[in-house]
Amino acid sequence: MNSPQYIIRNLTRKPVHVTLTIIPICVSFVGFIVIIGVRNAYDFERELDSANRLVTINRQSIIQPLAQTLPETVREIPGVNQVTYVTWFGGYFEQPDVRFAQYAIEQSTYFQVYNPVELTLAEHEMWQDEPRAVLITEQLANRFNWRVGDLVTITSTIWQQTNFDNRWQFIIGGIFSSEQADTDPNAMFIKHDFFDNNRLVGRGTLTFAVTKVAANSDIDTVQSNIDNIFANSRTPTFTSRESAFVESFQRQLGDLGFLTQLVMTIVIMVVLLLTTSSLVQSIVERRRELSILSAVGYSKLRLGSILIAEVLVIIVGAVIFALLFVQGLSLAVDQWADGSQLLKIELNALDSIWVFVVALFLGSIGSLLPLAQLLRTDLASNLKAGA
Amino acid sequence: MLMYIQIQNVSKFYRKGANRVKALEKVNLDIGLNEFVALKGPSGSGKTTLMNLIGGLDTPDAGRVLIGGKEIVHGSDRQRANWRAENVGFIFQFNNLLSFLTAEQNVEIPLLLRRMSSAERKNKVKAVLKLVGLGDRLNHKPNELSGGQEQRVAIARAIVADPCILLCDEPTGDLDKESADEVLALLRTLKESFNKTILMVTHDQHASQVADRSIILNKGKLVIDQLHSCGKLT
Ligand SMILES: Nc1ncnc2c1ncn2[C@@H]1O[C@H](COP(=O)(O)OP(=O)(O)OP(=O)(O)O)[C@@H](O)[C@H]1O
Ligand SMILES: [Mg+2]
Repeated sequence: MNSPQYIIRNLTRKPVHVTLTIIPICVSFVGFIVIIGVRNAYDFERELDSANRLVTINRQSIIQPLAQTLPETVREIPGVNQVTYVTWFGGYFEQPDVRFAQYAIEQSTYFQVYNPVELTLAEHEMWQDEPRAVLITEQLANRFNWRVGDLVTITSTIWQQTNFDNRWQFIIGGIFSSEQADTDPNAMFIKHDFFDNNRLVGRGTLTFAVTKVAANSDIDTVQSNIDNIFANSRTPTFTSRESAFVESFQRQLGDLGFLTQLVMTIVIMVVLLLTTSSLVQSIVERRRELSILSAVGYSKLRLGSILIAEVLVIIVGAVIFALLFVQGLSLAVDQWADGSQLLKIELNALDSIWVFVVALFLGSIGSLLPLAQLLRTDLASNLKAGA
Repeated sequence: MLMYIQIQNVSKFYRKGANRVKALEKVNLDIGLNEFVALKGPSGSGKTTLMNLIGGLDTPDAGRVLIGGKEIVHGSDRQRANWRAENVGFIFQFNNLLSFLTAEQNVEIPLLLRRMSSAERKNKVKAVLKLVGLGDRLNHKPNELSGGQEQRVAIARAIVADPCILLCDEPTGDLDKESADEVLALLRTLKESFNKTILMVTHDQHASQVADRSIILNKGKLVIDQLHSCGKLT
């Protein structure tokens, strides 16, 4: 036996007490970690903000198309650098539930509005010359084990080809990093002209246009100018910042700022309260044990450290459970939201360390009062008759 | 005889509400090296208080306690704890052992404070448990031991770190005669063969006969101090 073993032995003899302490700490940290994760995903949106991009959709709804002539009009607006457009392909691979995002992108302008992606020379040529070529993210390539040159068939739930077939065959033309392109981790880019030439209906339309505003121009003015131009057309538009587009999904999660404060408060209260009460209880319940150990030569500070170590082990255990749970939750959310960046819990190693630091800090603060109480206790009196 | 434990004019008071309780008043006492002393007296006479002062668990309000010619440190709690770990072993009347640990683990506790390898510790613990006649009870929890066996494990724990002084507060108070005799014989052996200096609080006339000398306290004062003609088990 050594001191850590002694601590563990002490904990395992009171499984109910330990469980009852772990659960509330664990639950409150799950809330805390989820908030951190969602905030991380939120940061993605802030990155989007700095990119000065506006998204324009049909004012009626995003399912209603817009005309491909729209970008030409928008390009005339002062302060507009470039406009590109995208059509949502809405397909799946092999099974209807194997979904990921496919965008038909306007090839000549897309990478002027978004950062260009890095392709090898061969990939670049294929993307230029092969009509059926598609670009996919690294994650997607790993997910399906797709390589450049592979033929893949994607079934669209929206678009039929001119031969009435809704199964479209593509060739993997290139693989890129999703972060570079500010897009979903699981995304496929289809060449819009190939798609347009081969679709049975809807030719000449687009799902949304993306406008890049010049850095020195006022993005809000451009935004209202776009919608003003089309206000009296057959298809009025609705333009918003790209970040707002993303945010509208996350709004459903509630006001993040308030939620963060609430969860932080709960975490602090729970951890402080439970460490304090658990320690005070230990000191009272284990007076005899502590007195014996004191007689054997354990100083009060050492006894206090042992008790605090026990509580910290409980807290660390609770945080580990919470992290594992949120990791699982994050995977589940990814699966459910098709790995979309719009709804996501993102955790990195640094966050996990930060959570441990917060937990241990709170545990230590919660230990101070009971420790002071222990240092004042006259342990020797407990060894007298009647005590 | 070399005076090993010297109590000089020691007084100790406790506060009970508004009252001041006199636990010890101007006690003077010398105990020689390797002496076995029985400490007797009615309940509340200050026996445990005196023992705790000698063991550095408590500090006197007046007077001095010297061990081996040196006044025991009244310093910090940590200093006194270290001093206890080095110099004294305590045995109490009951509940000496931690219930969730085996006999072996209970005896190991004082050694956890030392720089020793785990193997060294284990060997030492086994040897000491064998010495007290419990070499075959290493993995028994306290509730799987008889009262006498529990007290012998407590003795093993008290001597495992090789202190010079053993302080026993009614070590046989809860035992039947047979178990009590075993424990008393063991203490006697520790005096004879291992040169321990022993102070034992007892109410039992029979038990005190095992000691070399009896001291009686009454109301915090030393009233009788007598040498036995012969300290043996009767
Ligand atoms: N921590 C304390 N607070 C207040 N009074 C105390 C404290 N410890 C001891 N006393 C008082 O000091 C006196 C001596 O107590 P002590 O425990 O030393 O007696 P004792 O001889 O060991 O008695 P017993 O035979 O019952 O164990 C008693 O009157 C007791 O009430
Ligand atoms: Mg007593």
